[in-house]
Amino acid sequence: MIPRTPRTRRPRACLALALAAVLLAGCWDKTELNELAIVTMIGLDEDPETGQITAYYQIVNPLTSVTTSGSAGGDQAPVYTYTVSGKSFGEIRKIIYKMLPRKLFIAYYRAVVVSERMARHGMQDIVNIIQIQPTGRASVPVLIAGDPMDKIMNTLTPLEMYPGESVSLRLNLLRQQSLLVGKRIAVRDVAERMERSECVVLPILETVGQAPSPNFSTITGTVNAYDSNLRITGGAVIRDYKMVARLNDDQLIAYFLLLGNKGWFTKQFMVEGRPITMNAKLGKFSRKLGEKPRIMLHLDLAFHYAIEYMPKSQAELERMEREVANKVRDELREFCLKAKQLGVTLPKIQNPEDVRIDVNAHLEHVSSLTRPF
Amino acid sequence: MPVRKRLTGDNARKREQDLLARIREILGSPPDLVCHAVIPGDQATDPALCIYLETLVNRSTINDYVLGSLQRGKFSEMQAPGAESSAFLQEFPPNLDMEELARQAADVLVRGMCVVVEPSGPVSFVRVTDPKQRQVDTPVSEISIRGPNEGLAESIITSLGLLRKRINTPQLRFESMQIGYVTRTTVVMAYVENVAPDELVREMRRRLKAIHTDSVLESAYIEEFIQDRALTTFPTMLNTQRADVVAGHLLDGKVAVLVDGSSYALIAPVTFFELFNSPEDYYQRADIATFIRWIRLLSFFIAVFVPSLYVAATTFHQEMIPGALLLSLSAQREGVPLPAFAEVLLMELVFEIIREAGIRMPRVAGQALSIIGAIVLGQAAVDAGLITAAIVIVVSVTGIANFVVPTYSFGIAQRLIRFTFVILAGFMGLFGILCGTLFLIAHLASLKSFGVPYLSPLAPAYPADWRDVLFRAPRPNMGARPPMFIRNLKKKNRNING
Repeated sequence: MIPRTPRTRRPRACLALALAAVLLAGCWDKTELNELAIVTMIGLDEDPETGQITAYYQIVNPLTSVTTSGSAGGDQAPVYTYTVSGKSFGEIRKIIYKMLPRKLFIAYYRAVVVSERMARHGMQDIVNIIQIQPTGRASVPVLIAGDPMDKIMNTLTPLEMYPGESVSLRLNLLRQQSLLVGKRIAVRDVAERMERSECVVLPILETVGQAPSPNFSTITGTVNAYDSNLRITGGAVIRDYKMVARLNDDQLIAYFLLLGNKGWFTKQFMVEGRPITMNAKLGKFSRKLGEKPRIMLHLDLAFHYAIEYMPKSQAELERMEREVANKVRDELREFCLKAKQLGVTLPKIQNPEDVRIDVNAHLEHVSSLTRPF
Repeated sequence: MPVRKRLTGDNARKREQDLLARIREILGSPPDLVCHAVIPGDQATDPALCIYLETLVNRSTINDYVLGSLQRGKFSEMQAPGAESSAFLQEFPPNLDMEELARQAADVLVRGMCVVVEPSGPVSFVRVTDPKQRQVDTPVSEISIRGPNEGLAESIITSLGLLRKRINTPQLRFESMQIGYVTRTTVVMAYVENVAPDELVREMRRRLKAIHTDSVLESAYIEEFIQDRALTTFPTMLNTQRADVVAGHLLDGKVAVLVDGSSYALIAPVTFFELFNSPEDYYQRADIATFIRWIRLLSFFIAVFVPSLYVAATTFHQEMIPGALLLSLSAQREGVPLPAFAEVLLMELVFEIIREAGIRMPRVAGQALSIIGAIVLGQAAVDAGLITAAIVIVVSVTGIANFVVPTYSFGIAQRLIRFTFVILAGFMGLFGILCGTLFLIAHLASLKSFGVPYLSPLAPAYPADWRDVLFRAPRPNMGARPPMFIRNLKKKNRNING
């Protein structure tokens, strides 16, 4: 018999290790793409009286994805909404496969919509259930449903075929171009703000037109985007995981300016008794905390929509900048005075009504015309 | 000096006939064996015999010189002292018996010489070799846009001449030896004295002399005998057809091995990063050369990892795929019967078969192969829902990236590794790829080429040599030659037996 030397033992040891490695993670946990139910948007509702939770999963219909040879699905709906009810999230997950033939894949959902009644009752469980799951993305934005959940979750959107994608894209545009949506609206932001006893303002999602859309061909066959669509409008103030108030568009702009969010917004101001539409964007933002908190804002102005009037001299321009700054300052002060009533908090500032606000504005972007016709 | 016994009359004629018969017997009566009987003009005695293999000799030299001299009865050459082995005309030793003489005569005949048997004089042989060979041609496997395009030839004399033309120094050394008991192939070891480390030259000489084989028909035969490790897919010696590449490496202190009958020279030592270098890197501006070198590195990673990453991402780690891409891939997967792993493996195999067929197939049939490959196996298979379009793209990109590497043998290594990684990814996903990568790095770190660590000059680190690894510094800033990892062989006097 050949004695076992280290030389002969080594390959055997390598083989044993290699076989052991196969046991660590193996092909039995593999999942093909066509075995997945890809969720694009989740809706959650809770009946405050019975405690019954209803989850809506909008799942992509892969046949409608556009390829070079066109859409294979024809007039099929791009998403299917699966509705499951249960007493807990665990129970919902347990029974969903009674209806769903594929493995639920929630790593790609683009938005979570929470019904208003559930938001008013408390959103703590939602934050926890999303954070606790390994594949549950805490960076996904949370929206509050302004209409019944089944109506929202069964509404298809034109142009962007997946409603979750459509909502996600609109949130970005509203943040950058209108300052109607804040930067911090993800699940993790809700958790962070609530733990700091601060508020968070989440966008509100509503339906327009004849939603819910009966079938996909009515969406693709009509020219009017309002026949069936979703709309983001207003903001829901969330404190202690509960919705406490709604904000309108002007209040949203004021609130996000006071938070230091940078995004373009458009307003009409009265300058020397004449209206002028200005684009503005927060340039610099600074805060001083203490007994007498102070917020200083510097606005960059643009003339992109100022067709009503345009200053003709340096003095006129400076007057205009001053008046715009004063107007914004007054609106912000007014918002601060109402803050407690609206349930809104400002980070690390106990009494928003005591905040001193300084605003100055400077024209940074001129238009293509120096004088409107 | 042995006294030659002069033969006359019947004895001489019988000796000639016996010798011719014996030679013919030893050679097996080949059809190209020619024997001329020439009667010298000045005396009407017995004829002299001129024997040669007409497929190996230069006929005009035979006609003009050998036969002419025999007819004139003047057949001699002044030999330089010590030039016996290379002289034009040599005599067999006079004291050989018939059997030994016939054996030696047959031996020189197959080397392309002409045996002349003078009736009453010595038996001699004349160097009239005219090997059938190609002219110096463009190297087919290593074309460059800029720079010389002279490839080594099958004739070793031509190849040596191409090297001499580039390195005009008396320090250029060629050591010749014959390897192969049957083929007795001329193998030449080339190096530049005082530039190549003595240890390296000694080791190469030792390894070459230790070869025991019947035949050497190509430099690959030699490579398998002298390479450091047989069980690796990575080449530990560089093979090239380009004369300028051989010259460049010789100037870097390396040793080249040229084999008669092969247009490929072997160069040692070689490191992993040198396999990414192309001769064109040194004929282009430094910034362009650096950019192209990075493209090659990127292509290496694409060629090795893209199919396995695709398999891992689509079957184990779907959350890593960007949303839009996930939806697109998901749509493509609908109705496809095979799992992604099997799809990739199958398509890679098909691609390898097409590639191999493309090399062997006659050029006229190449177009048919392209059509079958592109349309039938690509488009039709996708349209039929047998495979996804993404797989076709992955396999195509991988295949193209594989051709970017300048060293063909390294490209083959990449192909083998790619299959290993695909299997690992199919079983274990990214975890498998990570394990494979660690094994690969450990394996590369364990390799040596004639004593030089394969991953040098990065590991072990020789910062002085980094100017020509991932970046190619402008020539004035290139630093001294040869590189440190070569010079260190000399300095450390380390044992380089692998």
